[in-house]
Amino acid sequence: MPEHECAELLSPAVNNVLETMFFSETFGPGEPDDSPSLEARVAFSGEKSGSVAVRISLASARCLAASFLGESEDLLEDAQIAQVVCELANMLCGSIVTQIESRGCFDLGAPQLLPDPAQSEIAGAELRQSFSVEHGTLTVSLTFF
Amino acid sequence: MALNIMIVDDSPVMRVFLRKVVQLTGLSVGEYCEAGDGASALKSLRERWVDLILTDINMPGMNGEEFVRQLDKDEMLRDIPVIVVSTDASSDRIDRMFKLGAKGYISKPFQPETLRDEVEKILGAEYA
Repeated sequence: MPEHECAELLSPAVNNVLETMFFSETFGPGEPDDSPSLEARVAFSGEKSGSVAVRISLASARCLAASFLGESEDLLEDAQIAQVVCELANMLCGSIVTQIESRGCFDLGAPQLLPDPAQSEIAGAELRQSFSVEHGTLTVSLTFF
Repeated sequence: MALNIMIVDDSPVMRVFLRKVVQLTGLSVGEYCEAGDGASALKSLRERWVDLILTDINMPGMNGEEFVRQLDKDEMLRDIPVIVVSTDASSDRIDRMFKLGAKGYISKPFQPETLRDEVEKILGAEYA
């Protein structure tokens, strides 16, 4: 699958995952900003290998986590929010890679939280898209190794 | 009739989410039990009876494939229906899990109705 077609997979995957699992939605293209954020990545291997990374504003992550867990935002622990961002990355990776390799098996690695901005994968990714979501921005990238 | 359900997933938040989805389906649930990987689940299953298992595939330690394989080898446990809940929706993976003994497969993302439909298909309408 050519890279430009892969890029077109990101938006449907994000919308499907947010609407179905997080009872949320995107509000069109977004602009990455410098507000506090969380980044997680999931590596995949199969016929093609690479990784999917997500970076999301902290306020948006808290909002999504509350929706995902059916809890009040005030009651959420930081660890739960981080785990939900990892799960978001996991679902997006599975959703995107399934479109790339609909027949062949692939393996997903464990989601990793990237607490150090120096480890950010999204910054250098060629295939990435940002979406406006409640309280901030969600950026998703797809990188092939 | 109330179902005892085991949820096997290494992600604590995913286990919470699955409980919530089960509640949304309206299924009558007796007890939940949870495990973070296949080995812990097998140990727990020797101490309690469950009617249905929901399991992830990608887990550290014993993953979902090996867990389903081990269940199928065990005379006491092989009749417990297993529904796989995974982000992997490739047809090869789905075929492989069914061959190993899974009775249902749900790929994430999914709607609560999908879980209810799978349970009804596997256990019959009287449970759903």
